[in-house]
Amino acid sequence: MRIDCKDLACPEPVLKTKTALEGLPDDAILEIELNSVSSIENCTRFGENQGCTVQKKALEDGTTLLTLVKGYGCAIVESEKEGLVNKTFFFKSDQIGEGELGKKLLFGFLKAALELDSLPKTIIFVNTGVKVTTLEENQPAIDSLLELEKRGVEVYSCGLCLGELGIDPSLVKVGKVGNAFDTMQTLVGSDVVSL
Amino acid sequence: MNTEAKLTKYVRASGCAAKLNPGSLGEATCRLESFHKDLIVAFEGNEDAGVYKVTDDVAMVQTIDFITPVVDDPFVYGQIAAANSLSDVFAMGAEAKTALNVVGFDGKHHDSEILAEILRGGADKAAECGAVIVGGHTIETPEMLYGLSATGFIHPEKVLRNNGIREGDHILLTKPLGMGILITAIKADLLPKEVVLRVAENLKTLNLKASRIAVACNAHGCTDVTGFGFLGHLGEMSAGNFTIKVHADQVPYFPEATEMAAMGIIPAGSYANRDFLKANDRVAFRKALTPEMEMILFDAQTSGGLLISGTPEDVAEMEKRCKEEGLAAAVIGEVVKKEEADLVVC
Repeated sequence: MRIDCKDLACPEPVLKTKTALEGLPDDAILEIELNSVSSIENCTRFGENQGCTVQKKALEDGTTLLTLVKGYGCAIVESEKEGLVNKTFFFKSDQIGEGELGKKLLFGFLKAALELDSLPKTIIFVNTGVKVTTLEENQPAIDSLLELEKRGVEVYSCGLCLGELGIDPSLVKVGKVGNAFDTMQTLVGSDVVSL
Repeated sequence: MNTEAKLTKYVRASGCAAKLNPGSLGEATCRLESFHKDLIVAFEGNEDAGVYKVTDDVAMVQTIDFITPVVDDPFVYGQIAAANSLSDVFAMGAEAKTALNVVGFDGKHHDSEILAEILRGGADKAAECGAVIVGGHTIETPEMLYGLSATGFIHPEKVLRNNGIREGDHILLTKPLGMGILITAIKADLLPKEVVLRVAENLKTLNLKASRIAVACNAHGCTDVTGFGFLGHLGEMSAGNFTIKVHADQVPYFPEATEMAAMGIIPAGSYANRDFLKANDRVAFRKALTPEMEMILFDAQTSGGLLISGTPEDVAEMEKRCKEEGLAAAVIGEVVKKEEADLVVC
């Protein structure tokens, strides 16, 4: 089912989503067309609050399409993007290995990744790894990550880790802030390379 | 409460959430300048009201504010709109004396009986603070709006400015937050009647008592929390001169707002407030809050409480007196030396 909630003011999009969702059986898919920041965030919150799997996609005409999978339906597996393999690079600290070499390796490694023929679908930063995407001292890494993101790689920084380290989420310079659920889902659903 | 008129169903956004976003408003008004030897407060500093010195002992405080319906009962909407308008007079530390009705009436959906009820609600609140309605102006509009252009008086040297805060001050908030979210939930018919009544009670509470307490306890600075939200108005108090440390766990709010925020019942105005403050690096979060609590701090309030600054001792006394008057006031932060961000939430 697909509903059009474009140009509607809050709380209309959420109410229309609620009504549509209530009328659907479990495992059904609801697609919502939206075009404002507030309605996208609100419908995402609502969907997650109702236990749905929520996916967001930008359409060419500027519309955002939210896909809600009701109940325990499996998440939709997107068709593989060109040049991306179903691998996840998992960074648990802001360097690779100990000592001074650790930082050099991190920068060098990410730069080298740009030369790869096939890129990982996702890169996740947890624990002190979130410093890589936020602190100015890691600008060389951020530059590489921005380029990787341009090529379709999804970059996530752990929201909880940012909070624990006192780093404002607005400082994340590349990719998105991820939550524990999404992280686990990605780790379970792909080959993981821990770094 | 009489909800038959369904006032909130015929407007796009309710209350102060319908306010023009802070960025656009700033761009438009920054080009306006007013000069006169007796003009004490005008456009600069995003003040709540204009102040003009009439004699050495008397200054006139003028303000206008109008809002779209926030509840479905016309009498209660009138009361809330009037309380919201009069609040700007109280935020300057002044006493309200006269007011004019400002009405945009949606005659297509409502009959004149409804209008009479709205105006009766407004007059009721004006009378409560000793002010009198002296006239007004009404036009037909596609969306209902109502408010007052209120006039008050104060000694020219006792005006409470937004940015009168000093280093070491504590800051008191005199009403709980969550109004923007809850008004949106009322519009969506998602709240039980009992909660709607509590929300309406909070909205129509005048800031008169809080203002008198602020004046009596030597307040340094004062403003009211409305469309730009709790953090937005605290940002105006900081004015880039100081950093205000906000103790998030001390901030009073309606618990029902958390539940509604999690469901995505958040007005666009609240997102606009968040994006404005975050884009300009005005606020830093040193503590991880739930996404719902964060949105409550940014939530566009209608008829919100006063934010009052003063010495820690004076603010403690204000808090005590407010509580004696039945206000859910709490000390929510302190003023420190300027750090990178104007506001630090911890």
